[in-house]
Amino acid sequence: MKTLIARLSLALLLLAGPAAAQEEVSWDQYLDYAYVFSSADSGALKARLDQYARDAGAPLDKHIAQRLMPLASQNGPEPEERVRRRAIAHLLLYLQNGSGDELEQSVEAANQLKPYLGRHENKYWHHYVLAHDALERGRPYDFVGHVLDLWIGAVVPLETPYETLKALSLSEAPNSGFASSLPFLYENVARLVLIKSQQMGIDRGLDPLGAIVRLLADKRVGAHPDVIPLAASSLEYLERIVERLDGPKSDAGSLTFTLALFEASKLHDNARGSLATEGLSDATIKAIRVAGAAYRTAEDRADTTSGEAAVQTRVLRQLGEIYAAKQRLKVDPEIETPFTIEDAILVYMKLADAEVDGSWMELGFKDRDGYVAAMRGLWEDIQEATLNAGDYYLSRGVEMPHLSDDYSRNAARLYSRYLGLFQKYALTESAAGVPDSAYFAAHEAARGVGDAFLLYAQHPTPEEVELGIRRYRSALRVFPFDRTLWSALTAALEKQGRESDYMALVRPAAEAATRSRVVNRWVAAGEPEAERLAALQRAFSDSLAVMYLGFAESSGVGELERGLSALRAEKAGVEQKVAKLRRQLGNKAGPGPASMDDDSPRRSGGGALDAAEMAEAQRELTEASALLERLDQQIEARSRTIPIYVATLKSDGMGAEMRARRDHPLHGMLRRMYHEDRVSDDAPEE
Amino acid sequence: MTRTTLFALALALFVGGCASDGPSPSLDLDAEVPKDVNTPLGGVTLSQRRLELVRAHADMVHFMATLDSLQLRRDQNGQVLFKGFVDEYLGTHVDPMLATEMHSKQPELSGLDATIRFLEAEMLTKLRSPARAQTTVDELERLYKGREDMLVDWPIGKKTTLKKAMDLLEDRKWRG
Repeated sequence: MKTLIARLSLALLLLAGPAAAQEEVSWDQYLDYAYVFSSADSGALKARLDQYARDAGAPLDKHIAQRLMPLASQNGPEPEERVRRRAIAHLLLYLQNGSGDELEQSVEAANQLKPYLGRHENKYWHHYVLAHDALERGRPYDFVGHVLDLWIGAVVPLETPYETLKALSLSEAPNSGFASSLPFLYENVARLVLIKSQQMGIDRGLDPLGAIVRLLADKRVGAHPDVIPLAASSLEYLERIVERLDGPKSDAGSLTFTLALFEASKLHDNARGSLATEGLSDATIKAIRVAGAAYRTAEDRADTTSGEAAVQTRVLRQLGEIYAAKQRLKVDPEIETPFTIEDAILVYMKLADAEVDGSWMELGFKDRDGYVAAMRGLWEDIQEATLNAGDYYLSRGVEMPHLSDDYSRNAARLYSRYLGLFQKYALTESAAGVPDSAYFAAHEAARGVGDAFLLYAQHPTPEEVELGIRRYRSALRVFPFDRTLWSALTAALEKQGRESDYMALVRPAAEAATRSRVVNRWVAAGEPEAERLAALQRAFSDSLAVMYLGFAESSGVGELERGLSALRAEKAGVEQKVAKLRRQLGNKAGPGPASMDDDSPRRSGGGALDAAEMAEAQRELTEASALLERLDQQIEARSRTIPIYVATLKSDGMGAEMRARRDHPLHGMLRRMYHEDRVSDDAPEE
Repeated sequence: MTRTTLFALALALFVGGCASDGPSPSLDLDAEVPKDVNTPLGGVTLSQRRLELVRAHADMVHFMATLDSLQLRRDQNGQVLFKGFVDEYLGTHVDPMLATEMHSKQPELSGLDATIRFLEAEMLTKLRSPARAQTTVDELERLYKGREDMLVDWPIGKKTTLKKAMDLLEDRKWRG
């Protein structure tokens, strides 16, 4: 933003040159055209005034002393243009060096213009100077008054003449008068209200100027690219402000609030940049603190819940960034922020509760779309900040095992808070203020509780273990398509010696996913990820594949395939044994009693099987045949199931993709799936 | 450099004058400026008028948004300042613009003219100037008598028939 403002100032300054160059070089002429360059920042303005001083052969202060000093009263009334130029000259020096004395003299001259305010040019400079004086004195009421007077007295009367001149291609004619300055007046007012007022720390009472800002953005600033090129205009900045002023992130159209929030956002960007380049250095922590204080100021300026929600949304983003950075950088510096996730949840509840009694319009929203967008935006940031903070606590538990129980409980509290919010407001599929991505976040939070107690905590209580298992089950019901969760559940059960509970726990989730009409329609229509979902659905419908999902993760596919090969080898061995036994028994018992002529070879050891041997061989054959049958079944089952299980591996990463993209198409499907045939027992509960 | 602000004003008057074939200017310097009696059918004058009306309409919509915002947030200081500004805008800019009957008779301008009058009446109600609001309503009724089915862009963002708009305005006037 600083770059943008600097670029605008510089570009505007460059426009001053050609206009003045057509005239004979004189300070008076530069002063008459000062509306072109008076909005530049102090550094650029100084450079320009130095250049003009060289052109005119004297610095401006000397010119004032020589040519523009007030006349003694006995010399008669002072010419109005001389008074005006003096006011402008002192103002330029004030803007260049910040001297209060220069401003005072400018104000004195501007007040001397009062008898001549019938002239638009005088009126413009009179109010322009006094508006700067009001800024310097920190008087927003006076500042607003002067800007409104400037508009009504100098801008409005020039608009029709300017359009007329323009229609006749005379707007740039040398004698077109002050009317031709109109595009510059628009720019100057825009900069005065949007930039200068903020530089001077005016953070209240600016709201009536919201109208002027809207007017400026409505085909005024940027509408004359032949006079002020778009690159040199403040249009982009102005449009961003107006977009916020009228959008859902507004405080019922308050300009004061919009500018305060914009300022805080800039400071947030600075902190973000510092975080990216320096990590959590002292400078970054200071930048975070400054941004937090600016957000607090913005929140103080908010009169409506709409405004509070706009602040909370951004603050949560910063909170999420801090937790993510702490986790990534593995440091835990002391960072103070005036906001918490709980604050944001309270604001969300105010918004959501207004839906019930239909009072949402009283919260500062212009339309229902804006209201819904604000609620959803706030929800999404609550969920992101919650998940980031939870992840941070779990990772801290890994780094500091002696504190892992504490950290796990912290994480579980955060996740549970989110689940509580989810349960309260995601009551129906059409709950307007709940975004689609909330459902996947509920899955993540439920899983987070399970992970916290069953994976990360070293000494969970039996109640915590029970809650963890219930949450895993809830996570499976909300989003069964995360393959890793199934094996996480078995690992947790194994830790508690409850592996045998696995099928009973997961069957409802597997069956729900298999019979889901929403998922079936999604797959049949070939919607995004249909192939991966179909592979998982096939696995859920096969109990052996479900077992694989739970227990095969640690052994891996290679092990499974080796196991299958071993079964096949075993089968081959058993087949040989069966064949051999059959031959033996067949030779003996085949055609009936052996004839005298039978000279077929005898078994080694001599002679035919006796009755005991026959019985033994028969028993072995029965056993081998039964084994063979079992092996056939196992091989058949594994041959069928392993490919089904292997196909599910392709779904890996789907969860990560959904977490990364709030607009992932599966979020919507998940929402519909959650609400179809939902039984309250299966919902995440706290 | 010569300052010729008056040039622009003179030029504007000139352009306006070109379109009017009314009586010769009186030599009485104190005489009231006669209202337009002729209706421009095209050209610069018509497009200029339309442009002015369009801009005034857009400005008034923005003013209304700010007025509503200030009222919603109960910003007393802001309302004092801004109501003064709007009052002056209506008095010095809109009223002179609407002082002609010509707009109501010109099909390209009548919709805008009526819409602006509705907006002005609504604003005056918000400014707690019921007498002026009533004057505006009376003028609307007089100028647009017999055209109750004409569509106007009022309330803001909607299109309604003049009759319905009048009923709505009456209702809002009483509600303040």
